[in-house]
Amino acid sequence: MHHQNLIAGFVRSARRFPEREAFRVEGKSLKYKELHELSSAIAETIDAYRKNESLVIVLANRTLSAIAGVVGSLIGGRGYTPINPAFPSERLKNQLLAIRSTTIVAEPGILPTLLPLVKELSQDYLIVVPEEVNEKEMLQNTRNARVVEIAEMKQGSDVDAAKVANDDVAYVIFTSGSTGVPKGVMTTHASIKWMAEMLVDRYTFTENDRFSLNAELSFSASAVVIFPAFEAGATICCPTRKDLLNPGRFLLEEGITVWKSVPSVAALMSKLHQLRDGVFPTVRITTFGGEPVPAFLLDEWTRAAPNSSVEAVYGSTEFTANSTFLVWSNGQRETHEGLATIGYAIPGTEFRVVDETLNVVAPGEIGELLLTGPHITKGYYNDEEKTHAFFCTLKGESRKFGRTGDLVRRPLGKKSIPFVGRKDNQIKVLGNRVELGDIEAAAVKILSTHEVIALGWPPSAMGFDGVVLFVGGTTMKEGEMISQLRKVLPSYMVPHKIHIMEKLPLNQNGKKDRLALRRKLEESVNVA
Amino acid sequence: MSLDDIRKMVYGNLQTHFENAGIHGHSEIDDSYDMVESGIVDSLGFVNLMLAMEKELGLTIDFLTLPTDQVSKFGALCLFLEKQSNQ
Repeated sequence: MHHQNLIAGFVRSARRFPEREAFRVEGKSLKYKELHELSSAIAETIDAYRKNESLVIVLANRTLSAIAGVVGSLIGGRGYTPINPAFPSERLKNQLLAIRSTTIVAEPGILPTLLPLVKELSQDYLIVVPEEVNEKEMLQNTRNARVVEIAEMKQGSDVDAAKVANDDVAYVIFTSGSTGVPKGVMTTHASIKWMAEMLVDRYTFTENDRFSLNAELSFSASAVVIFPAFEAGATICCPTRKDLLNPGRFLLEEGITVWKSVPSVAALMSKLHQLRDGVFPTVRITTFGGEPVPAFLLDEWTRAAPNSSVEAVYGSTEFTANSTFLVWSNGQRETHEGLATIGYAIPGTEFRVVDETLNVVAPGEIGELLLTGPHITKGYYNDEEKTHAFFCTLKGESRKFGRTGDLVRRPLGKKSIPFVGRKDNQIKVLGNRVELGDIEAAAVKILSTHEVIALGWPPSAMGFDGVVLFVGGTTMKEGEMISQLRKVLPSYMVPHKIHIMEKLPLNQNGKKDRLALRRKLEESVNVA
Repeated sequence: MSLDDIRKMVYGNLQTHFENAGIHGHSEIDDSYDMVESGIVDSLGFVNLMLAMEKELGLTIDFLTLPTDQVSKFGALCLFLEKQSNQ
């Protein structure tokens, strides 16, 4: 069955508001008509070389190339999969190998890293660069890379969004995997289109709104900013890494009206005394999510942005980023141990709280949160086993639910849902989703010992500020281990401290004892 | 507090990071040296540096007045801190 392409909303806005700014970054900007032309050119260039490609790798972040790559992929009826260009090259290479596509939209700055990498891979790549490349020597086609710079691209015309099926994949976003292999979550056009329209409706977004795109393109939170904003004809303002050192200043300079970030960003702003009463009058919609949201931050933000509705949102990539809301500024000030509860399921979606055997638990009891609704994604890219484990059906119900891995307390009556913790070793580091097993797998490879345990440390109000590693019986020096890990892990997963022990402690069952190591960290703080 | 004192303090706070980048003293740092691009600080590192500077200088700094494009430049940041400390 054919259905409207997710990006049809953008095309509609481009025809209604051709002269309005669509995207701003690094002091540069693209009007709607310019972004439409540029992305049409990308679609037509890919059509010319790779007609049958269904997924495009977008190797760009916080640049014009990034947004043009997203829109250009979708407008041509293809899905996109973003890879963060800041990843160390070993991780980039593994990610490229994991994706069955040889079409890349890249930002100019990544070419010096990308071209040597591609040489090592035994596939022929098409690399489209929608911005000018200053080092022209980068443009020489090599044995297995054809580089097409903006000047050589097909001329973009005012093309319509290609037809897609409801169930076609709009994007694949990779998250940390517990065995060191990243998991790609496949989101369909139907899911993200439903989500984008729901958000435009919920917040009455218009062409006068100015969104701050704080999340990296490789996080699903970016999709629930980009697509509602384009649907409404609004302007997306994208901070650079430097802008994020001083987020309050960026917010003021850009006149942001829609703010969405992890609470860790607000916590940094709070420490820099930026959350003073009434300083952010332009903001009218705020949502915090991606990790537990402390009540004190919601209160501080409500005072700093007095004209804004302020909400805590809970969700994950597997459920199109948003699953539940708590409208803090509207009197839903429900907390659990100093953190906002995760709130109420989005209308049109449903949840269950179940025990290990998938039986619904009694009100007030703790269990795993299951969700279902239009926001449920298609499972994991090229991984039937994990996809199979993700979906489940319950006794007496016909619809499929998805597992979150999150433990919650089943609410009493019509109350909101309190978050309790994780079933596994997934943690949040400054809002980034991290599987401790991902770090441990990297360490095992480097150290050739299985005597490794990673832990989040130090704790913050939301999750953790960083990661530490315990290693047993190694002769390698700490500095050497850290610099090796830097080559394979994104920066937020690199341990800031490695504790070398003769042997790791075991618990009564003969397993490595995480709890004992956590207590050791806690004691070292108490002594200090 | 002189500008040179401030430069020394900022360097001192991030000494290990600077040394890892091959810089062994505040006098070796150019005004235009970019602490983000060179990987000396990220956003959490920046906040920690600023909290330390506030403590040492006995100040509460208003960062909303610091232009975004200058935050990461060593020279501009030190100059900003010097002005704040002499207000």
